[in-house]
Amino acid sequence: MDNNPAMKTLDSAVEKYGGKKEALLSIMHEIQKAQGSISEDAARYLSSKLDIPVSQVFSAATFYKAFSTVPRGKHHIKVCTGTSCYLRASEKIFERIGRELNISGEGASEDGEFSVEKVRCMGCCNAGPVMSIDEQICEDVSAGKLPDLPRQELIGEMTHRKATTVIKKYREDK
Amino acid sequence: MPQLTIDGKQITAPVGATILQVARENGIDIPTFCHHEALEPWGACRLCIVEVDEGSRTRLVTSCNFQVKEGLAVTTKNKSITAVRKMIIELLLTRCPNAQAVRQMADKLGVTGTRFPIENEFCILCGMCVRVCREIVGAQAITFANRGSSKKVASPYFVRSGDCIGCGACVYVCPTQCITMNDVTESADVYAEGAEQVGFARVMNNWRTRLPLRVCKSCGNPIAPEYQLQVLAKKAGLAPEALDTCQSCKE
Amino acid sequence: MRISTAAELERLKQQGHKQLHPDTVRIMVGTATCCLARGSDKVIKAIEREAAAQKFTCTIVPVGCIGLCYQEPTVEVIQPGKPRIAYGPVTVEDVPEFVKALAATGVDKKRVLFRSDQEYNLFAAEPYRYAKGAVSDEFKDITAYSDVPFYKKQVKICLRNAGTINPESIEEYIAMGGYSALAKAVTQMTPEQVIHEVTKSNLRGRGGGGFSTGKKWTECRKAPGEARYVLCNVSEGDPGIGMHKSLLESDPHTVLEGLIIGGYAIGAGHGYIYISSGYPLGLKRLQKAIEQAEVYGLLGKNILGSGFNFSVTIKEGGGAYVCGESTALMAGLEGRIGEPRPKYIHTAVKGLWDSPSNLNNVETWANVPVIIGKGADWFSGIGTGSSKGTKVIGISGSVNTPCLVEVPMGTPFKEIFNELGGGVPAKRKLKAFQTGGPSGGVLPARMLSLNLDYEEMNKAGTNLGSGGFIAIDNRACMVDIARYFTQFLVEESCGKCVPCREGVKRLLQLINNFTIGIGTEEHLTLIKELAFAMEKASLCDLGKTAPSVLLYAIKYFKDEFEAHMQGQCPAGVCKDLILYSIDANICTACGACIRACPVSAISGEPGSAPTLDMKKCIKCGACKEVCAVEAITT
Repeated sequence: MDNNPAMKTLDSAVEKYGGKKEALLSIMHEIQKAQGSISEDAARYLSSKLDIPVSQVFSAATFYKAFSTVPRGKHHIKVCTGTSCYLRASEKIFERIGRELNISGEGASEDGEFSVEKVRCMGCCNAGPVMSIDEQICEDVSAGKLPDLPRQELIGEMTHRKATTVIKKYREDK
Repeated sequence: MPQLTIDGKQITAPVGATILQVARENGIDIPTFCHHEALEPWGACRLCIVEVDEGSRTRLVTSCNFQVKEGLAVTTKNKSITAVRKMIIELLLTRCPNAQAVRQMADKLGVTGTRFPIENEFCILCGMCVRVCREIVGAQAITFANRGSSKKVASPYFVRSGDCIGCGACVYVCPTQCITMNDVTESADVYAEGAEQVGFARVMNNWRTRLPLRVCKSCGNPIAPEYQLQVLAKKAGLAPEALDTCQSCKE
Repeated sequence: MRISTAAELERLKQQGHKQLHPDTVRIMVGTATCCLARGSDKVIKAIEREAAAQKFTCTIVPVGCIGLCYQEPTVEVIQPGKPRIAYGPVTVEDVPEFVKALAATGVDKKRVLFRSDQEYNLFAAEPYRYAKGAVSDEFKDITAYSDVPFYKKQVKICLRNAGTINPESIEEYIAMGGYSALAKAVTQMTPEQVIHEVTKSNLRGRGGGGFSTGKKWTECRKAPGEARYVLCNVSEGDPGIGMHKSLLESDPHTVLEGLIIGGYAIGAGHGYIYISSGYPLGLKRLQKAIEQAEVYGLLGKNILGSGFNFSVTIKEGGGAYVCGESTALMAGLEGRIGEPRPKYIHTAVKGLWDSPSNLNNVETWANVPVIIGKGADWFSGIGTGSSKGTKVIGISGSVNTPCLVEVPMGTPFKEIFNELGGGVPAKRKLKAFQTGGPSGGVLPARMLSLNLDYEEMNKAGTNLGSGGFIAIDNRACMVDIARYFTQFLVEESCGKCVPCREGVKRLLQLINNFTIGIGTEEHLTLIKELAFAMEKASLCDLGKTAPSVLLYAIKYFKDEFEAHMQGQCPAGVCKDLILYSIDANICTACGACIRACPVSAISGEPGSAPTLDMKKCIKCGACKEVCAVEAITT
């Protein structure tokens, strides 16, 4: 396995929780954050380190929404679809983003730059509709005034700085 | 030894027994799909629902995992129970309209068709394959992936399972017989990984796993998967190569 | 640093008191997740800069949720000897003027909201008065807290410190009487006496179950076994109201103190706090609280010299609504997937790792220090006959003044909606409201006559649930709302049992028939038949209550279902049943909709109303959103 930095991440995640098998979910959170997914390699490694079957890691990785078995995009977008945000048309924002980035449903764009997912509730129910890009929360978003995404001119006011810079940089790099 | 009644019949039951066990012992029929005497009760198909009157309250419970108590009054069939069982089998018939075991159960429960748009699955997600692999065989090679209606039984990452020993317990226990395995010969290279893998092998089709078979050192016929024999030898405290002669050659 | 006796705790309280009421100006800025989403962290930095630039001496303190969500970013100021004043919204742009006004006159008249003359502290024998002497002229005109429904209607138990203390300071928590209840419990009471007090208070589970907390504790304590556990459920029962997360972000120590007291009462040596994924700030503040409590010896060995040992672990969930269910939660704690199992043997007897375990909701735990500190009689003096105490309510949706409040049980929903929520915005009409989350019911507006009470709501055929309040106005389609919640449950079902896994999927298919205009009476009958089986036979409450929203919607909004059967969506929401149109009379020809349309279905000449090509239209709603004059309708 030619991925030493990846191994280091796995090792430190396991160490942080004392190699305890009941800390599986906590360890998986660390790995998901660091590597963007729970890969097959990571699952096999965890299985040997924690002395649990690979099937247990795999089952958790596919059952829980916080984990993914396929890598997320470099920039991960979360759109809140909790009740309050839904009533403020957050579903339309999700669809709009999907159209702009050519992602159908939840998933990643072909070039791996962006991925989008629906989340339950980010806890900013009175600031909705809410979305986040790379964990930076943007509130009061609207489908008509989405942050500056590729292939779309800026319309309306920007409600956050991070989304613009991230996407501007993406356009510059292209 | 608790005394209880099932459908009015007075029964003395062993401590710790479940209603299902006691009912079956006494010739009372309760339908099940996810139950097997050799496995821990699972309580997922919900067909074994019965009504229990505990004195303080009456409720519907699954008989496969409800322990009998002194003074319990059990009813195994009434209007509610029948309605529930019929709906459950209708739902399963919707998912697996072509699975023989499902059709047989539907016939038994008096359900002829479904009012929902049908699919064409064969797995009823009873979990017996996963459970036998975990509880009896101990390999834990397969598991449930995903959740909700996308739940399915699979080997990790939907690729070849490194823990499967090719024992076939999952094949044996599956009620709809949708798990298959076959032994292939020299020329076939299904799921082979490299030239040296081609040869006598057991293919677990659903788990995309191919296990080379060890051949008898006397007659050259395949005995059992190489990996399985290694695992068994280890468990029995023998050398890995110990189990190398087939049954007929031994005699 | 370690506190070994109750007397040492008292000394620390006096010290902390000075920190809470310093000789300099104390500026408190709300920093719960939603406040931060409104830029309150930038406001803090701006105030720091301005104060330095204007040479204005002050201490800036990040506090939790102040609750005035509609005025965020909210800032509260306490000047020595003067009343406490709430300001809002104070944006980054407002800060220079704000600081200047404070420095010059002590009041920023432009952004002032309310004043409070007295500190709210349940544990203080004598309430601390901010203002010494009579209220001076510059503050007289400011509306007093006591005249405002937002304060008048509230009785804060769980939220007593929210917005006043820095949630990351155990010293400030102690200064407000924190951990004095723990000291009382472990040094003056036996575990049985603690349980007796909690039982006497009639505290009921705040996660929605409404079970007697005291009874649960009793059963768990009595259960045979060596190890036992106390568990805290922070699983946010209603995705749409961030109440429980707000509680953790504002005052994590009240939850911790409650859990330690519970551990003492039940005889547990270890507690687990399960927090669903997606609340990083709450997790961080709780982690910090635990570390601080450990340093002070309020967690660990021989707590306050009592001989009681207790430790706490936080576990972040994997993101599954089903893990709000107790056995699924415990499976998650054990490192497995969140599939529930039967509770024919209660988890109080066989729970986590088959040991006796007591699970309570985070809000239930937050009440415990006050019940022990002030006594069961004080607590049960609040509320109704069967529903005692208070309830944290997040008021959201179509309301003028969304906020986070805590009101006595028995408060009429009418007051919650009108006086606290400020009623529905102009031009809208309240159609329905929801209290119980996806497993509760959506009630028609006329049922605002109900009171916040477990039994009353059950009698009306619904349940209190976790108690958020989401107002739904006439722009919403109730068929679509029912579909939304059913879709949610399809995604959240664990998939173990047939009635739920297969049933909720079919419910969604059935209701989708209505959203595309082919629903029939037979479908309604089939829904009811399927619902019966799900309610009777599902393994857990997720499946059992899954048909609820749909059934309530059919019951209370039959007319909307009938309209959909005729192929019409009166609210103009269901895509397949609507057409977008531009009213040329209202249109100002600004061209915003032309630019907004992602499929170029709108075209027109500058100066005249554009036309919409319905063949190209994908009904995304972007045009309707950007139209400033509401010329586009469905």
